[in-house]
Amino acid sequence: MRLTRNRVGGILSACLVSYALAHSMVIASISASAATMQLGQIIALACLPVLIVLCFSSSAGLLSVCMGGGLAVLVELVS
Amino acid sequence: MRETLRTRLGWLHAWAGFLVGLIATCIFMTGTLSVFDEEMTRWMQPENQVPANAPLTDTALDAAAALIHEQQLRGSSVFLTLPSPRSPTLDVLHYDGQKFVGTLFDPRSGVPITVRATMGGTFFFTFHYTLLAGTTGTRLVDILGIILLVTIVSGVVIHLRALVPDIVMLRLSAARLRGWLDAHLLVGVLFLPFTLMIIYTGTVVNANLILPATPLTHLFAPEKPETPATGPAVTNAAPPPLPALAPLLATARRSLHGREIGFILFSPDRLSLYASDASGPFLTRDHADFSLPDGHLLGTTTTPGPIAHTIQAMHGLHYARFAPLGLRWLYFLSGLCATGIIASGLVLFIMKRRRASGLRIGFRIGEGLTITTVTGLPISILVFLWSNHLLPATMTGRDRLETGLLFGAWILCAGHAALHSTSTSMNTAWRPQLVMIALLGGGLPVLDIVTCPHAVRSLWAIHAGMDGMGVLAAIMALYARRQLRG
Repeated sequence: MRLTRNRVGGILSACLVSYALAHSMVIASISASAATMQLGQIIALACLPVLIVLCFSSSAGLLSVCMGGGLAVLVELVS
Repeated sequence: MRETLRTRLGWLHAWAGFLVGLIATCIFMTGTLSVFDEEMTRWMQPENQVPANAPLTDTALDAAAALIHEQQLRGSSVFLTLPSPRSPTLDVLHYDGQKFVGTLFDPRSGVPITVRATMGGTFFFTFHYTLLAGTTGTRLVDILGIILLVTIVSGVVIHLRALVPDIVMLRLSAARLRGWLDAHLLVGVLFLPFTLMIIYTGTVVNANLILPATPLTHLFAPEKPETPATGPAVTNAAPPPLPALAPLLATARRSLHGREIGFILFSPDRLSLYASDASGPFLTRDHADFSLPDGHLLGTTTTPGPIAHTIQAMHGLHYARFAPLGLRWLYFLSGLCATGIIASGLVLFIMKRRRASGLRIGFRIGEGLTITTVTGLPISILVFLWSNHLLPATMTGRDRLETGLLFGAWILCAGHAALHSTSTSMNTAWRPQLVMIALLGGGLPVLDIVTCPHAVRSLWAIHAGMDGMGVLAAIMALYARRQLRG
């Protein structure tokens, strides 16, 4: 039961973190043009499932995706 | 129990696959049928016996233009679709809130063709991407697509070491669970590229709905009430008469680098001729505009650039409107196998948990839903086809009744599965529904020949294909029933 609870919690947090990162990819691509925004969507959609699996597979995966997301936000803020 | 990567991802693959698979089976099954949506519409409208590649004459174009102008005077917003090998009629259509309806003209003579009201193949196409729930449904389908991709990625990871052996391993004579698993893996591995491509391109088509280019904070901001537009006052002037369409078609073809024209949109001051979706693998909305009423070429609109071409290629790959007949059949076969992967996954999920579940209520609901999806949907689709041929052609509201009968049959299948979920063996629910598929599918050619003999003779290829699909469904159902007995 506890294992199932952990897994459900894990997949929910994996989805949230991965979606936030994928969405930040799209937002980061808006500034240039409508075409690059579409490119951002294409890449983000391809990455989203992989990110979710990566996040869910281990805590190291979750940490690395969180770090990647944080880095993306920082780059966005600086540029 | 020690948690390993394999067990953790195995849990994700099983549960995500099962919960999403119930709806994904319906999406894949209807999507597979949508590959032949135009042909299904023709099968369901046997009154339309215009042969493929019938020549388009000026008389027909003039007749269509006259009707369009008449409808414009009445304030109706209509468009014109031009004949193509798959849909050889000249159609003046408008959207009635659910589907495109209108008048079909014979492209040779310009004579209107009276056909029975039906949603035809459009029903499956609409269901496939909206679940008949508009934008919310489309968003849901997109989210399900992403979860399916998650299921595939996790499935690949857990089977990574055995991917190559899985291609050649099919032990149908082994234990039933082993046989189902082998079939799931074999088809899953063989059709992995197609399945990945079709799900990914499907989510890209409506990417804006799940990954909008709006900061997340804006998504949750309250919507501002729309302020009325303060543009120039709308004039009620009568729309000008349309110029002759044939010369415009020739000019538009030249302007669009020889591509065929698919449809024409009409606005008060111009008309726009769009390149056909079947004119190439890149699904574009390139068009040539002409002024009204003189028909002078205003210019062409194209979307150049590598990113735009990438998007167009993805749309083209998903819709497959460019595909010739052979490739279309390959799409159909691959779609069937992808549906089979998901359906076999559902059955595997249930089989693996049957003994451990102690037939608890949750398990019974799960198995009931699986039966409703795997056998209930084919039954309701066949009921839809049967009702199309059995309901009187001139009956008012017959299109709504057809759809109603489809859902009625589906609800009955769900009720039947739910009733049998209290018994110890669920085979009592699977068997009658499989027999029903065999009866309805196997009887489809007989029904077709008895009710529409003229159409069967004049459009034998379309009718043979559709009736053959019914027979194929019947054979598969009988085979599955035989396996259940063992």
